[in-house]
Amino acid sequence: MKRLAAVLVLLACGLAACIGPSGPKFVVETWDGQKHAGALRMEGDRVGVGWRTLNREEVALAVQEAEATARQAAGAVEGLQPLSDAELARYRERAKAIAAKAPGSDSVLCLDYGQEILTPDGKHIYRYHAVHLVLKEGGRKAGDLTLGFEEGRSRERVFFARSISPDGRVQWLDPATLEVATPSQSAQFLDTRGRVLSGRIPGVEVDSLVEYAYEYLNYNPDVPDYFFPSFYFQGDEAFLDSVIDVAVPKGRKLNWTTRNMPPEAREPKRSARGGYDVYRWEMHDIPPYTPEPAMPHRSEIVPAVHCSLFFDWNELHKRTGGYQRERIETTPDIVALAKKIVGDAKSDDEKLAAVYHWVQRNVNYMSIKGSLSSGWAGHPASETLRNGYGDCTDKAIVLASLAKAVGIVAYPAILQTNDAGQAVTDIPFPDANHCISLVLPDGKPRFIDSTATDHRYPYFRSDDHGVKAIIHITGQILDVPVPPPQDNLRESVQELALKADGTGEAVEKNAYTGDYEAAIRGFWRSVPPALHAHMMQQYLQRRCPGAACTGFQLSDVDDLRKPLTMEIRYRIPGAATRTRDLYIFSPPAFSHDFPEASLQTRKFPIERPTTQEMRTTLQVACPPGYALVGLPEPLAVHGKHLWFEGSVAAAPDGKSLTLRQTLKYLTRRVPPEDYAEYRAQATRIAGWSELKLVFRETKTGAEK
Amino acid sequence: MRHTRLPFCRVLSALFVLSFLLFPALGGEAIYLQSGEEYVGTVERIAKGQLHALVGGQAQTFPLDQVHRIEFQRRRLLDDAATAADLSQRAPFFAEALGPKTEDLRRRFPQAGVVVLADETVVTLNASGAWEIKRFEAWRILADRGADSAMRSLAYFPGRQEAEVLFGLTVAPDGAVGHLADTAMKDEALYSRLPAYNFQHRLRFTLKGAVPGATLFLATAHRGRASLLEPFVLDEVFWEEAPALKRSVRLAVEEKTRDLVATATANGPKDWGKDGLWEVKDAPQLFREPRMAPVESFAPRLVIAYPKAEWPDVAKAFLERAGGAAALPTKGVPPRALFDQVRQSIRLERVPLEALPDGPAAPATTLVRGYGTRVERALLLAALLRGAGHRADVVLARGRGDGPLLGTAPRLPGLTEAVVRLAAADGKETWLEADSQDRGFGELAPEVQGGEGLDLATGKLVTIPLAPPAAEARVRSVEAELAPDGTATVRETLKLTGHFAADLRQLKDLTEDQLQKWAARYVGGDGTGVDLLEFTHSDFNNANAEERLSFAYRMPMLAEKAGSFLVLRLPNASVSATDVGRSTRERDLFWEGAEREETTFVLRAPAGYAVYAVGPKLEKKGEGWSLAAEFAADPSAKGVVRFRETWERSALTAPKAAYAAYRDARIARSRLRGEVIVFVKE
Repeated sequence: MKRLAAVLVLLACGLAACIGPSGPKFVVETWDGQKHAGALRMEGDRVGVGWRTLNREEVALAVQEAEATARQAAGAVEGLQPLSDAELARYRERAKAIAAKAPGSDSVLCLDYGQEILTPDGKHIYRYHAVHLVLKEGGRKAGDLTLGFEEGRSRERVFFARSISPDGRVQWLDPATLEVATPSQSAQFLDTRGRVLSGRIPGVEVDSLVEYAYEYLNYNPDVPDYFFPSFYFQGDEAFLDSVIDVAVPKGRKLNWTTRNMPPEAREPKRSARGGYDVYRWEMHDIPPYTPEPAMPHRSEIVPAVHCSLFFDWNELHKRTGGYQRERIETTPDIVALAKKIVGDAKSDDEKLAAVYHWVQRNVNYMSIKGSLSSGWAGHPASETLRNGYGDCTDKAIVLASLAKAVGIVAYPAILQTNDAGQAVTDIPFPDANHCISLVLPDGKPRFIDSTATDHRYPYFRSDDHGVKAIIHITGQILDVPVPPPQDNLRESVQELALKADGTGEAVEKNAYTGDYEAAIRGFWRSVPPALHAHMMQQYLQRRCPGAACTGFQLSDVDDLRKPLTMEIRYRIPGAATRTRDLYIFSPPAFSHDFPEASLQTRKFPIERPTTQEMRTTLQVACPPGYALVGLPEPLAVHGKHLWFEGSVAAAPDGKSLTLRQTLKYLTRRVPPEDYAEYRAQATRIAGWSELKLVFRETKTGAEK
Repeated sequence: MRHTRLPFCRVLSALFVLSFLLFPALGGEAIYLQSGEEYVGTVERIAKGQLHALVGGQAQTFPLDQVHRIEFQRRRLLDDAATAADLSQRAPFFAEALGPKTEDLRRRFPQAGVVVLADETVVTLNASGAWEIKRFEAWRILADRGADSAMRSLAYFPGRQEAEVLFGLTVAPDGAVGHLADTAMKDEALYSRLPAYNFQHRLRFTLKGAVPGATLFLATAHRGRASLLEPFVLDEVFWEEAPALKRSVRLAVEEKTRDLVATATANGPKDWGKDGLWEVKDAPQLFREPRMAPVESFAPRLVIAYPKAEWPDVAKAFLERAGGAAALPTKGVPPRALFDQVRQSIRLERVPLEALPDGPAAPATTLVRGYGTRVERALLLAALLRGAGHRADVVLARGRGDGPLLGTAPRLPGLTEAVVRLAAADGKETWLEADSQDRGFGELAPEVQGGEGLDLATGKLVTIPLAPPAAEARVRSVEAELAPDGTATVRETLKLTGHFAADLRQLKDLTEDQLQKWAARYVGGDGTGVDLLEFTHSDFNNANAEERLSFAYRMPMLAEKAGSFLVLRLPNASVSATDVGRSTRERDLFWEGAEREETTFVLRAPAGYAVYAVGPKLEKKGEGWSLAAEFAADPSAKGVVRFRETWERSALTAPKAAYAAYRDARIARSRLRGEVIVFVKE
């Protein structure tokens, strides 16, 4: 018996030796690209992986292995199999018919079928099956597969992919040609987690059908309940059958919201399949949309469904708010820095202005994302301050920390910028691309955005205006206000002396607020001082070719505390046209145009980032020896979206004119039903502002 | 005794050894938990299912099964340096760079966002073919606009080359030293979407604390092995947009390898390169000007190529890799049809030749794949043409915007484009370019016209022909009929050839509906409320020798009434003169390709009106350009004004002394387009 026990012990030891040290398994990658797998341990400068020991300096990365599988109830969802020849032939026929209604399309998406599955063990699966008909060269991109995933958390698998030429020849994608790579990003973004599985389906030509199906498995989600399926049912190509099945384990409740869906398609068809409750939304024969100038983001106009497992925001607020709270720090160093930044500022507004300006200028934009928490809440304030770089979330955390250090309440506010479509907020759903700050100077809430670099307090970036902001720490969803037009102002006071020979001497003094000010400030700050005069001279050519800049002064562009002002003096060789006894003058840079109103009719709203006001007062010293032929009628347009007043007044002695105009864009959005009125008003304003003032030689002038 | 300063690379070699001896506990490891949280600190111990770390100076323990991944910080040179003083003690390089005061530098370089304090490149070439470039840079940030200089990258080919950051340091204005964090570094594939071209990577990283007053130090190493097919080439321009106190390239080469190295220089000082050192002190700050020649054409420049080769060797090696001067059977197919086959059925992939370490795919492969780069498409086109019995050769070309080739250092890198020379039996040549689906038969991109090229058939350098202005033309004619209320009905036609046509053919990608909207915006031009009445166009897919568009539209307020006068300007006629805005320039003028624009307007007044006044006549002529324009009342038709203008430029360069006259002509043209026309009611 003892002998047997000894043998068993030896066997067990031998087995353990085969398996290696116990504990979770990691894949360890060295700087020279070698990979080792096994249990992980570390002591001093030695790192053990299984039975292998490495020097710590050799080790680049250790990732815990997780089983890239998911437990599924049998028959939960249908398999994705290649379609039969007959089905493909029907799609070809339907696609040709719908394409005839939208000539010039690149392709038709015949089948657009998605399955979103939450497995009982908390894994997320997305499966997709598509069939495209290629109609033009541009449609051949349907044969390019680029599927993203995150190493150590998810993977992609292509079930099959093929092209079918019009004569029925089939070419299959060889899975061996698929490659995994780390995709590149633009300079200011750095996420080392992302990978892409890429391949190109062979034989994709004009008139080919392209069919493929793949599966994305998130086998190791950060938070299993963060299951947020979304599906869009329209694109810039026609869709024939667009279907999404969302499957959750039986009894698990699903929350959803739809957008732009016809009433009959808003409610899902519900079924039970093998331990899952399945919700299906579908649309058929959806024509493509044609983009229009200044239209809202695509996500706002196409039919879509968004789903969530949550019915209130508590979990999202708690988790992201928790990350944010942890990262907002008031270490002694941060308190000292905050005090140094605010100096002898007294009021909350003064202190906040100093902090706002400092964060804009002293944390360079660099977005580094390594996890769910840094994705939503950035990095601890002290880390960002040490690095000197960070993204919008980092800047909001730093701002909140510095503000807190001087006794002002501030919170990160997560939002979707207004150029990226309205965020889904009617159900708990993480839908955002930016983070700004809600601040409460003297307890009064206001939003500021320190990701900018040139905004003077309290102005903030226009792409934040008019959207929903989520304050996770306080559990609020607030409306970011759209500031009034005067908070995005260019006020120009000009003098122009017209000479009898048609030349002119001009002085222009401009003052700005809001985004307008920030844009001007940012531009001039990027230009070396020696080029200022050249740049202004270049700019002047747009309004008066041949103009010569004789003086150009900017207030200190680096000083965000003071409003930006600009003074330009310039000489215009051809300020007016002299022809026979006429002297015709158009005030420079006075006209307005409205490119957003170029179409006769519109299907989609006009959307601009924010409101705006432009005021111009021009004093014109009339050319000696000439008299104005008829004074233009003033124009007043007081519309729902446009506000304009323009007038020309002559001095009693006829020696000078005062031209005034104020244009206000009162709203961010012009709905299609208001478009006809908007266009008519815009046309009147544009016409009036194209002033051509006609002077005629007086007798004295003629004698001269 | 003469003092010779030790090259910085040797100093660094010593530092490297020393640094490892003094190596302290590293910080900066990133610990990511399964639940999505992350911490930056120092991993102290992993044992018994626990990870013990110091995070923000506090001891923390994480269950190991909850750890998703750990990113370790790479050990680098000078990791132990914490202050400016530490660095200055290590090597004179640091002391010298840290010496100048920021205020003094700002006074000296008031225009600069950054000033390069030192930029030393050391190239080592071994007889075995191994090469190494080590680069050491130090720069000071003087203004916010210099902050982007902290973002850097180093391109390389994994598996064939190595790229490494030896150190990346920031000395803050208060003297604290910040070290490059691996969390701010990414090794990424440049063409990840395309497995067939997925070779080149770049190591991209950002240095910390790039604020005004900070001094940044960066040392990188790039290593590989050279051969005739994959030569080592360094092409260095010594002037950049940041001024530099010193910039140098030192060549370290074994004696027996010396004859195998080709060097070529341009615009450098006399005796440049003596003892294998090319150095420029006080390199000026470059200010970009509109229509400026490439920096390579006037700044000091050095090319090193190893192993040395002659142009025929380069051509031969390239052809061997690219499947030789292949011919694919296409008997009897005319050249235009073969050109269109490549243009339309071979998808263009915008991957440059230098991103393909094994060279381009052979023509047969490109044909089967159905896609190719510009060079691969050119090779395929030539092979198809040969297969049809035509004489066709590929010429690898250098865009003129890349500067002169420097032909005394023969090498493949730098020849980025490819054109095909098709020779008819009578000797007539047609040059073809397969760089775009929008380029027509016989059209060449302006970038390559007049540029240098390597004729792969002969191994000789040739000049790519320049198309005459008439082949690069935009002809616009407009007829406007005014109504008494100032509205107008306008008919307009556009005829385009050469690059004007190629640019417009992009419209083929639009749907009919999108095209109508494009046309509405086009006719809207300078005005608002313009209604498009009619729009027709040639089939852009055909890449016709001449593309045509015609529009009819109604303008709501072309003319303004003033008393008995109707006053108007030419509709949608403004031409920008912003690129000649500056009154003087530092550099010569440079253009790509020739151009010709012919414009005519016919303006008809409403019945009962006569022409009262029209704009003047204008003629300007310079070396390689001319302008002739005039307004005139039509003597044969009452109330009709005609405007004709012809602008032509054949020059590709002009000395800066010619700028004043050129500017004058351009401004005069712009002003003339804005002249008013007056009709009077009779």
